Amino acid sequence: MFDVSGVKDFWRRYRSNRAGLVGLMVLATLAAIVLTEPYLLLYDPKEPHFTDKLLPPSTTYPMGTDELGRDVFSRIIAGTRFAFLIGLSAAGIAALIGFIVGAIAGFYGGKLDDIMMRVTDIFLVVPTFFLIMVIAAIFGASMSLVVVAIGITSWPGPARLVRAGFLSLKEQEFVEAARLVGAGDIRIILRHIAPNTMAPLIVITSVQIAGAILTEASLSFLGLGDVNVVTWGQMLQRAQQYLRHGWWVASFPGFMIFLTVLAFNLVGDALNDALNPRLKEYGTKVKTET
Amino acid sequence: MRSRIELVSLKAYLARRTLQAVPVVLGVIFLNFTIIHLAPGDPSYVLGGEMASPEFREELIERMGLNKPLWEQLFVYFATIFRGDLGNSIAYRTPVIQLIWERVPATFLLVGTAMLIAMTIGTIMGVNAARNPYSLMDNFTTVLSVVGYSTPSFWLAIMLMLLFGVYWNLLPTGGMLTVGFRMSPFETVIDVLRHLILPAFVLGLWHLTRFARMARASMLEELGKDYIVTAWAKGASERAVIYGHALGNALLPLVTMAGMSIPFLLTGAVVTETVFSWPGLGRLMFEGIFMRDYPVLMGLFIIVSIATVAANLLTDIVYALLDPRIRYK
Amino acid sequence: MTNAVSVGNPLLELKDLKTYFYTSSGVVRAVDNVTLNINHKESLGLVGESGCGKSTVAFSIMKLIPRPGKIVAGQILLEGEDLVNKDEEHMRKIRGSRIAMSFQDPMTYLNPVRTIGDQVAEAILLHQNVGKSQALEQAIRALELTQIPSAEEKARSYPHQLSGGMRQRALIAMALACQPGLLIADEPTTALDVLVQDEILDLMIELQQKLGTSILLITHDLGVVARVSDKVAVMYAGRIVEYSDTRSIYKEPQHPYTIGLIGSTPRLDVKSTRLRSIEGNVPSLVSPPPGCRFHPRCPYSKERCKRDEPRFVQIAAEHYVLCHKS
Repeated sequence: MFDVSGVKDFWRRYRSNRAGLVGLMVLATLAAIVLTEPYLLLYDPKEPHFTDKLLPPSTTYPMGTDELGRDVFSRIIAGTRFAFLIGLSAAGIAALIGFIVGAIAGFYGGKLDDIMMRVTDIFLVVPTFFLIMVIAAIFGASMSLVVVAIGITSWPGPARLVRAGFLSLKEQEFVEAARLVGAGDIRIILRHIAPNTMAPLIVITSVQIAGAILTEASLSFLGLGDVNVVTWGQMLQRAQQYLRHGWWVASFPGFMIFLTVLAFNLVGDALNDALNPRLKEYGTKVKTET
Repeated sequence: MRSRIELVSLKAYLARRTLQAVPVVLGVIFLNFTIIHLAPGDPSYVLGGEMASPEFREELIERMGLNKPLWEQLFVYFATIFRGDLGNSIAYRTPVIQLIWERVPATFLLVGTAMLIAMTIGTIMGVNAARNPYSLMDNFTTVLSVVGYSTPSFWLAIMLMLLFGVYWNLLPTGGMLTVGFRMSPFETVIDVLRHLILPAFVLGLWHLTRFARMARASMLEELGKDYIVTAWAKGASERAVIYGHALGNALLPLVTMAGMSIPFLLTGAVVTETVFSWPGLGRLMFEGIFMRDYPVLMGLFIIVSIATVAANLLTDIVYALLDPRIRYK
Repeated sequence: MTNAVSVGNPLLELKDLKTYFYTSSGVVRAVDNVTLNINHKESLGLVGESGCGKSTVAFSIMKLIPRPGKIVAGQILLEGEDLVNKDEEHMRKIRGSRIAMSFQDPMTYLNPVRTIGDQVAEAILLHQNVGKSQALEQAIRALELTQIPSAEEKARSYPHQLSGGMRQRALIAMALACQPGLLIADEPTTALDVLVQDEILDLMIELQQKLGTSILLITHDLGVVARVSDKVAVMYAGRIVEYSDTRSIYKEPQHPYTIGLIGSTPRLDVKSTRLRSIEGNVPSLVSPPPGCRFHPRCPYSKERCKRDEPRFVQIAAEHYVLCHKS
């Protein structure tokens, strides 16, 4: 299923994209933070120190304290785990649903395809963020709900990609060959066609992770987040009122969101370039020489 | 003779697109209905509010047919929507449709300006980047685009507000107008502009980056096509090739993208209007959530969806007018 | 290496032209020492398989070589003036007015969102100081010249509304709009079906006589060359291997490759049982075979052919061959 030379080629192409490498390094660092979280926390992220409210960054509090005297640095560290958790799960759900819908629509075509495309159209027209907000408002904002809500509103993107892949691949000879050997539909879908649609799916998932983190942060910012959880979005939401008292309460969480989202976007772009090599050398068709 | 046939086919195309849009709108309304009934609690509380008086609830149940079987309720719901009755706001006690109507101009102004900024600056940046691919200017534009694309709008809003509003005291930190002063029409316009610039920029930035990337990609794709070679072979200058040939074709996908940006702009407006206290639909949405004012939320949902469908249709019209391949079949 | 020149006053002279492409997989020597002349009012057919470098010759003359390529050596003399060192501005004035080019696939080589008339008129506007309406009138006349029916109406149409043959005529009209001295026609008939091909070829012959334009016809199709060209140059792996007038090439081909090409053309008048082809594949232009580039596929090759590069040998008054055989 994986050919080694293909992987090596791919890595060579990926490596040439400096931005992508930067993104990858950032992600690796963040992942390391998540894994070593217990060792990095200076204080309990939820513990208030009422005597140390709104202190600027110092040696005791590297990123200062918030309005309840909580250490911003520790909260940032704690927030990293949730950012990844939310991003990966939401994008994962979207990818899964998207794959199922796209595979069925692309493989079977016909009426099934039409219906699913109509449904996808509805999702494109509907303001999905509105929808998530409404869902969060009605059903209460817990983290799982938010993750599921983001997941079920983001599947059209992956679905379209997977569908396109299936539409073109199902006509190929290897599918016919598999049929002749007696493979059933499911086997063909999963073992033969699916692996070839993974590449664009991975690319879009990377971007969707970024989007999910951003969406959750926006929700929390608007007051629709899970209050019991320390996420960067939540931090920003509280920081809004205390802007004039200190720049650090809002800057650090916002920057972390920015950094993480940027990293996933860069990686997604680099993956895209590496998987679809274009002939960079042949710029525009004709470029005049003097 | 020929132009009549062409016009007919254009109208037929548009009629077809409009027809395709209808089931989508119906689907949205149906979705709304589903949510109302999936919500925890009695639909009459969802639509009437927790504090509703028993009489009010009675009237609501009668009007919306909430005591009837689900089929009938759906029918009644559709009928109500088509009548233009989106219910009453629990918080304001006024018809939702009126609340929305009052706030449309403000949002229109904000979204329109943001869109304008995004389209013009974004396209210019993208086209210029495509003229010298992989040059320093191009890489710079790309980096800037990705950074802008990844910046959370609310964070940017806060930071800019801090910078321009608090530290430098150059621009107002909220609202659409400065109250308390009597101003001439000209001064009012300037005042609105001063209030408008930060939120419009914040709202438009993300879209600006998308336009820039798309414009660049589209231009590069066009420049790789054969008819460009013909243009060079005719003795066209670089300007003629880029602006006379490539640009016209490259703009077409941008038109489509502009249409697709509308729903995102509207949702982005929620955050932007909230942070900048801009009195528009987004702010209304936020208030509605804060106060659990479900009729407002539902109503906004439908209106925004319809607006999106309308925007897409408009985009299709513009596209058809621009692309002779569709105009003359 | 002796130059393969023809007697008469040349409109265009290519002398030892080399155009290489510097790619990541190596240097592609697409045009490797080509010397060629085209006289006034003469039509030269440049024949060869795909990938032999003939289109690159055309683009080199126009100096429109795509990116990793550049002219490395040689001269391109347009009525005595060397184009190789001329700057872009200078070339811009030449393109479309003194040397013009038409292309293979008229659908993709025309701008889909501009009318035919507009595009032909552009060729005029770029080089002549006339108003827009006058340029459009001239454009319509150019279209009429290429025998497009109801030219005025067609001028207001878009490329997708025209048939393949009409589009090719439009492309030719665009090229001839400013009455250039030389028209380079790159595979003008390849994308068309057989009946239309005939019409286009007849058109080209007629236009050449009417306007006195020289034509450099680039094609892989010997039949086309036989009809339209006065002279023929056969190209292989970046080099000219044979040059003569059309009749001699067909009656007495000298180079084994030419012989092979002619032999592999299906003919209606000669009864044959098998379609003959030339064995082997087109050589890589990055690392061509040593010695004579054709030797791996040549039925007459000897030891010498593998070692030494052949030189031009003059067989007759205007007949040159690049081969050791003679």
